[in-house]
Amino acid sequence: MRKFACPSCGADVTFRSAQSVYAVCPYCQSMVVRGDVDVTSIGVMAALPEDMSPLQLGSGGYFEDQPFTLIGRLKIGWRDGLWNEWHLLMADGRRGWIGEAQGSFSVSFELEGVLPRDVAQTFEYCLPLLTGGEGADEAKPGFLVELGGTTLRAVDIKLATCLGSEGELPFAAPKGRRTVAVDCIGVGGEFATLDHDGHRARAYVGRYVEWDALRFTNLRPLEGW
Amino acid sequence: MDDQPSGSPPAQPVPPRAPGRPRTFACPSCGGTVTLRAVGQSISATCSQCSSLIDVADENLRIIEAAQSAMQDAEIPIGARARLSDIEWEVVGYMRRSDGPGDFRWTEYLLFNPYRGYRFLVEEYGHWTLVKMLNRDVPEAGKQGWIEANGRSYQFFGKGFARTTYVAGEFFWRASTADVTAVTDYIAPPYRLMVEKNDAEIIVSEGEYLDARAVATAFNTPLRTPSSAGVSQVNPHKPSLMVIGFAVIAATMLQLTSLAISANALVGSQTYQLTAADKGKTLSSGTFRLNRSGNIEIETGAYLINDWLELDMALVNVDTNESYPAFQSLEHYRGTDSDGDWEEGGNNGTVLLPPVPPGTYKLLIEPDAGLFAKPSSPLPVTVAIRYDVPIWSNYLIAMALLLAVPAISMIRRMMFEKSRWEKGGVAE
Repeated sequence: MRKFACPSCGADVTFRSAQSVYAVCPYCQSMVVRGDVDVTSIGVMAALPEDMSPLQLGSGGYFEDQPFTLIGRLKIGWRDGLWNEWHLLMADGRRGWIGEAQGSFSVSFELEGVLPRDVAQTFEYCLPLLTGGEGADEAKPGFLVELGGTTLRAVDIKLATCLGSEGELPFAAPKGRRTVAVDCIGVGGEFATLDHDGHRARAYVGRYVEWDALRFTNLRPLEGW
Repeated sequence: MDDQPSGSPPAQPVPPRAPGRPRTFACPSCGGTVTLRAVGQSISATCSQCSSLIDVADENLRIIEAAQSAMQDAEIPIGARARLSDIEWEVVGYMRRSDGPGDFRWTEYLLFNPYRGYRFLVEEYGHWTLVKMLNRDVPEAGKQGWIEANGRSYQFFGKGFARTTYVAGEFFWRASTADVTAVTDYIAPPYRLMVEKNDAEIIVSEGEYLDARAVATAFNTPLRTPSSAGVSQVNPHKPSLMVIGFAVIAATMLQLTSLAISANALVGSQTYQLTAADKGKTLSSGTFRLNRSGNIEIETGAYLINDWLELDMALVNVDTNESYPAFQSLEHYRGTDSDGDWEEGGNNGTVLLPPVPPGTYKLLIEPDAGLFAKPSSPLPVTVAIRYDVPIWSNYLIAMALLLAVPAISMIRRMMFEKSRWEKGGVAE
């Protein structure tokens, strides 16, 4: 864990993961990027849209019997809704994501190394969506992708826009960052999301996990619940 | 609150988030207060005062549909809470939906819990189903036949369109009364699988049938009684063949044992030539010995032509003079009338006496007959006495009663299935 003084307000900005390069100061919402020795402010993050999520930065939980902590969040919007991508740090140092949409929780980890051919193919079809164009005829949900030995079906393809972020993240996520996101599901609850921000493609693979199994702690209070 | 797991929070490096709370805003159409319960997830909401449908995805609060047709109340109001399947849910919205032609109508309530997300509570003619989106790929979704989903084998039930005719409350999509989706239904009672398809997506949900009384109790509100059969209701008429089967086997074994051990012995048989002279006399059979207790069957045979015969009998223990009365009456008439030949009565009859103790017995017979009143030829009457005969009547009655139960339940089962499948099929 490393602490830097926020270049804007002087408060502590903590990087709990050595791989995090980007963080939002919890006190003044300055967006900071980590350099070799210090951090540089690149602007100020607007307040995130309100929601009824029970999660917050610092919430703990378990995935496959290993504890994790939520260290960052992206708020994503698309034409028909919003969702949260929580960045998590596992006890063994791995970093992953919890997609929180309509009360479903998907836990996924970025696929390392060269991306499978199916992913490249998918983006070839879908990338025009990012610039406001029409996707290819193949860019319709329903096709299958092979990812890490599992066959998954693409169930929705959307143009996602970052509405804001908080905490620490492995990449800069200013408001307005756009990606094409393709969600895929398997017969046994497997989950994957493929995304492309115009510069690079990423694939995250994991599974849907029930609320009880995540054994969350340090939840945010919710009025009336 | 009970849904929050307990545990000691780790040291917090950041200020905690402000508590989540419902949000209120003024309806852009009438200015009335609209409450949002699933803040951050609801995309559309209706004003409870003017029933306008409002886009709440951002701060612009655009009207999707101004004042819908007359407000329609639901059995369960928005804001009501209930514990279903051990999770507390709050009703945040409801939709009225119907099939293409509008013959079949149902209501879908949207339930929200900030920890567990959403469920749909579907009400069709008083039948309730709790539905959850599956988040599982169902490769065979849409096929007509049997399909596998979420570890269950589902049978194709029906295919048609679902049209939304009225919405109230808030939804995590842009609800509209213009919504039409193609729906394919499968059943594995009490489970039900629904595949909704439109141009952009395929949504597969799984429902579980709920008892209407349990739903009424959970919401603490009276609900109407379900009519006909529910689509994924478990057939309430059980085949119950196990218990009946055991009873049939047990009764049969008992009967077979009783057949095997009964002596079924002929202990006396005698033919009497009765004439008018025998009127008022007492005839006696020979004596016979019974070594153990057993029942007695007296079988009478007489060749009667348009005549009657009455035998007033007594089985007498010659050692103790104990007497067991028996009575046999026979009649046999026949003739011809405008309808043709007719016949009434018969020439044979049996009387069964309950078990008598061991001893030496004789049978005394006082006969009377129609022909005693007029001179005629002698009437031969044979009286045979059987001892320890097996009895079928009790067994046959027991069988009839036992088999009536599964027969009736089978008929009711079939009628229930008929009523269920009337709601299925493919709508073009």
